Amino acid sequence: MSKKIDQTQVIKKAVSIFWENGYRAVSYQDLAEGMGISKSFLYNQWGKEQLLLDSIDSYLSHNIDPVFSFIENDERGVEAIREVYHEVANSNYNEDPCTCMLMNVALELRNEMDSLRPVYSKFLKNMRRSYSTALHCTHKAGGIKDVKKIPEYVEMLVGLMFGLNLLLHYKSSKELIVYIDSCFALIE
Amino acid sequence: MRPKEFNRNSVLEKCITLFWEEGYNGTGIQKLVTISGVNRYSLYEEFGNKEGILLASLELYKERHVPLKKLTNSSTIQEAFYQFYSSFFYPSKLNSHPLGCYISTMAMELRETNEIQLFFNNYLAFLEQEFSQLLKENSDLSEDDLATILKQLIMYYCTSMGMYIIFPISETAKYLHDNIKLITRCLKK
Repeated sequence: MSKKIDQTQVIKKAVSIFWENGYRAVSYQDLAEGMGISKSFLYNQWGKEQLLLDSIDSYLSHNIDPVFSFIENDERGVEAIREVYHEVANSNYNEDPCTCMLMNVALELRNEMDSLRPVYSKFLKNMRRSYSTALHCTHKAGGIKDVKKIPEYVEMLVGLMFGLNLLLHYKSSKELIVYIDSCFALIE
Repeated sequence: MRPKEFNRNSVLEKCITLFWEEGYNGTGIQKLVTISGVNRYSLYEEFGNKEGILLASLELYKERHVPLKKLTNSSTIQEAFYQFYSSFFYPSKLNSHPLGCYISTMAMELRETNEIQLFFNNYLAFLEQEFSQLLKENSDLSEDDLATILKQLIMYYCTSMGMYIIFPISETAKYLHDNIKLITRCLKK
C-alpha cells in the first residue's frame, strides 16, 4: 500500500521553505527534502511554479485571512488594525519571519510570473474589505467624522503595510511604533 | 601619477543596472567583469570586493539619481513631494534604470547585511533632513507636527518603493498623489 500524502501538511512545509529562502534560491532537491516527498512526486504533482502558487494560497488562508477576519469582527474598528500593525512592529524578525511572504516573493519575481497577478488582487481585495469594515465601525462610534474619507484612509492603511515590510528590517520596535502611530494620526 | 585605466563612475553605472535587474546575489563577479569591461584584478584593486562595488554604486546613485531637485523646483509643497516620489517611476530616458529606487531595492534584498543597515539608515536620515529643510522653509509647523509629518513622509517613501511591484504604474501614481495630499493636508491653513 502506498503511503498517503497529507497535501495540506506538505504544502505548509513548502510555505516555510519559500518564506525563508525566496523562490529562485530554492531547488527541487531542497523542496523535496524539506517537504519529505520524492522529487518525482514533486515534479508530477506540482512543478515549482504551481507549488509556489499553492503555497501562497495556503499562506493566505492560514496566515493572512484569519488576521483580516479578526479585524473585520472586532468592534474596536481602527484600533484593531493598529493592534495588528503594532504586533508586526513588535515581532522579532531574527527569530520569526514576520515579513509578508507574499510581498517578499512579489519583490523577487517582480519582472516575471504573471500568474501571481490574480493572487495579488485577491489579497488586496480582502485587505481593503476588512479595513473598510473596521473604519465604518469606527465611524459609527463617532471616531471618524466624514464617511466619504473612508476609502482614502483604507488606501493609506493598505500602503502602510508595504512600507512597514521594508522598514521593520531597519528600525527598532520602539521606532516603528512611532512611525505607525504617526500614520494613524492621519485618520480623523 | 598612474593614469586611471577605467572611468570609475561609468563602471559603477553599469553595476547599478546589473545589481538592480538581476539582484545582488544573482550577480556573479564574472558578469561584472564582462559588463564593465574591466578585469577582475583592477575591479578588486579599486573597490576591494563585490560588497565594495555595491557600496560605491549605492553612493553614486544617491549622489546622481535621487531627484532632490524636484523638491525645490515646484510651486507648492504638495507638488514638490509628488514630483519627488513619482520621479522614481518615470526614470529619465538617459539611463536604463528599472522602476523604483535602487537603494530601497537593495535594502530589501540585503536586509541582513551590516553595511547595508548602516547605509540605508543613513539614507533615510538624509531624506528626512532634506524634507525637514523644505518644510521648515515653507511652513510654520510646530516641532511636534514637523516630527509627525516627517515620519509619515519617510514611511510613505518606503511604501511607494514597494507598492509599484504589485500595483500597475497608473494606480501607483494615483496612490502617491492621494497619499501626499492626505499627508500635506495639515499644511494648508
